[in-house]
Amino acid sequence: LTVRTTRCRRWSTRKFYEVTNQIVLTSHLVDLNYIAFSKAVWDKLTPEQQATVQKAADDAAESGRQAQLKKEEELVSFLREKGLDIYEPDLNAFRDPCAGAICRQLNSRPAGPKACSTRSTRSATDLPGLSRRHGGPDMTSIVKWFLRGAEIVAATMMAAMFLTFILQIAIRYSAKLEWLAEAVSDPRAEPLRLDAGIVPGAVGLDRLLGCGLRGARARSCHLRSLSRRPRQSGAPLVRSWPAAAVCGGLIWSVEPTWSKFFILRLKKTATLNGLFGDWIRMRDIYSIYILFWCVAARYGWRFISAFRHGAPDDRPARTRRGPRNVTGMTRHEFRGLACLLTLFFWRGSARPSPIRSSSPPWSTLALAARTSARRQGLMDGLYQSFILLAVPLFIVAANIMNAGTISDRLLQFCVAAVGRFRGGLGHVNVVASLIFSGMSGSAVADAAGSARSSSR
Amino acid sequence: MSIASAQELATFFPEFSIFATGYVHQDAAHQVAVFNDPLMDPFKQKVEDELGVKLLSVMYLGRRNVNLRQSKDELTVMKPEDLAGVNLRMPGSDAWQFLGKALGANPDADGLHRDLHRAFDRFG
Repeated sequence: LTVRTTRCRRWSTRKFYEVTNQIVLTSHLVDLNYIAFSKAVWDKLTPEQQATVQKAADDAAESGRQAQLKKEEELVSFLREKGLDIYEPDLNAFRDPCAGAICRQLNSRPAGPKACSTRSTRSATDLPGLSRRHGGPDMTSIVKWFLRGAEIVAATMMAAMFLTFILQIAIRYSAKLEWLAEAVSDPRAEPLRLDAGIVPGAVGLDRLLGCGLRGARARSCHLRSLSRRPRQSGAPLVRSWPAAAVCGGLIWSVEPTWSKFFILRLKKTATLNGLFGDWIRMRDIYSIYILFWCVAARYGWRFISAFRHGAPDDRPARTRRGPRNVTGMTRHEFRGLACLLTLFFWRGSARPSPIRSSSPPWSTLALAARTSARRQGLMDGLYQSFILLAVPLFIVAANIMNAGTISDRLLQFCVAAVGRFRGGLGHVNVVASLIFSGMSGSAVADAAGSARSSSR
Repeated sequence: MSIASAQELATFFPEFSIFATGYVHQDAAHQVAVFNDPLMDPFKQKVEDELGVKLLSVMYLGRRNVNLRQSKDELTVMKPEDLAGVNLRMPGSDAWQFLGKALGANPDADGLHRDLHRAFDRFG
């Protein structure tokens, strides 16, 4: 049986009286909040202003106090009307064990605030007598690994879905452009497609994952700080292999890219005349690939510096890059690797059968543009998982709605509409979901949007 | 201007957990008396020095009581022993759990509730 302790003021608004039968007036905690003010601002105020602010705070607290006391009296009679048993227990019996426990707590540490001032960062959990419940160490680590694993899987899936979505858009619009269809169907352009597929994908996904995982990462960093153990130093080669992989892949693509440049240098007449007139040269457009060489150079430098200075984690400057995660990599390395893995494993999901099984993901773009029949098949394959594609966007949309307070207003509307019925919270939830699904059509957006508001 | 609870401050300064402990304050007037007492000055001074926050006043949030799913016929609580074995849903922090134990009940750290909040936080 579940019960809870409550402050009186929630009683009328949250309708707890519908699910409870008695209230024991233990008054076990006379709860408080402090009105807090920035010290920096306070010091800038003149003494008169300080007095005014102080008086305003005192007055506000006093009026709130009186209103609260009055409401408490009203609520008792209101709840008695609703059929609840409200009575006072033997308060002395309650006070004694509580006081005893407090004494034990106080006696087991030096008394007074000064004694604690040397360790101000200690949390309340460090108080003797309030010791944290310890599970078995094995269980804790298993749970931790599960949490991290779930994070990794979720991150990979998010990345895959984003990528598929972007690719779908790319195919949709690029297929209409004849010049691009010609360009990618040219067999000499094969290596270039490799570039076009993998590099923006990797760089973009790196950013996307960085945004999406910020919250989760902060939390896991926090978890890690609780269970910090000495770092093991490993061989630089092992530690920095993701950087080396990215670097190697990029260097590998330099040669084909350069040969494409060479072709374009010869074909000075190659322009975008079909679209914008002949003053835009293909060569100029492709020179953007120089940027990707900078990425290669960056990763190469990291790899070299790992050799020269040892593993990156052993250097103090590296600590500001954040701790390593479960795979033993820093988050940059992990994200890079996740991008690459996503790019390679994604290919099975949306590929129609006629394409040869060894084709890498980037070739789907080319094939889509090459023949309309295959393009049709590819589009079908993509549309079959359309719901999945849209999930991240729905979450984004729901977050926008939260930020714009639409979901809060929606919830308030539902409270006003059906909140008065018995079991009002459930009714409100149902109706809010109904309206929300009319906007979004997605259970995921519902969970991220209105459910988030109602859980507050 | 903002509001801060004693439980929040206790995560920075453990000594503040005394104000979140049961039966320390007796009523609203006692809260004010404690806040304005010279005893409180070192507490306030420390928050000012280390957090850069000045505590202006104390707000009364109400008395916390125990409400039970059982009817009075099934369970009548007159002393802490009557609450033995009753699951009491309370926030997960140690100060709250300690309070629940001191009441004689079996405090439960809001398991489902906490996970939900975590899940929603993850999207936000």
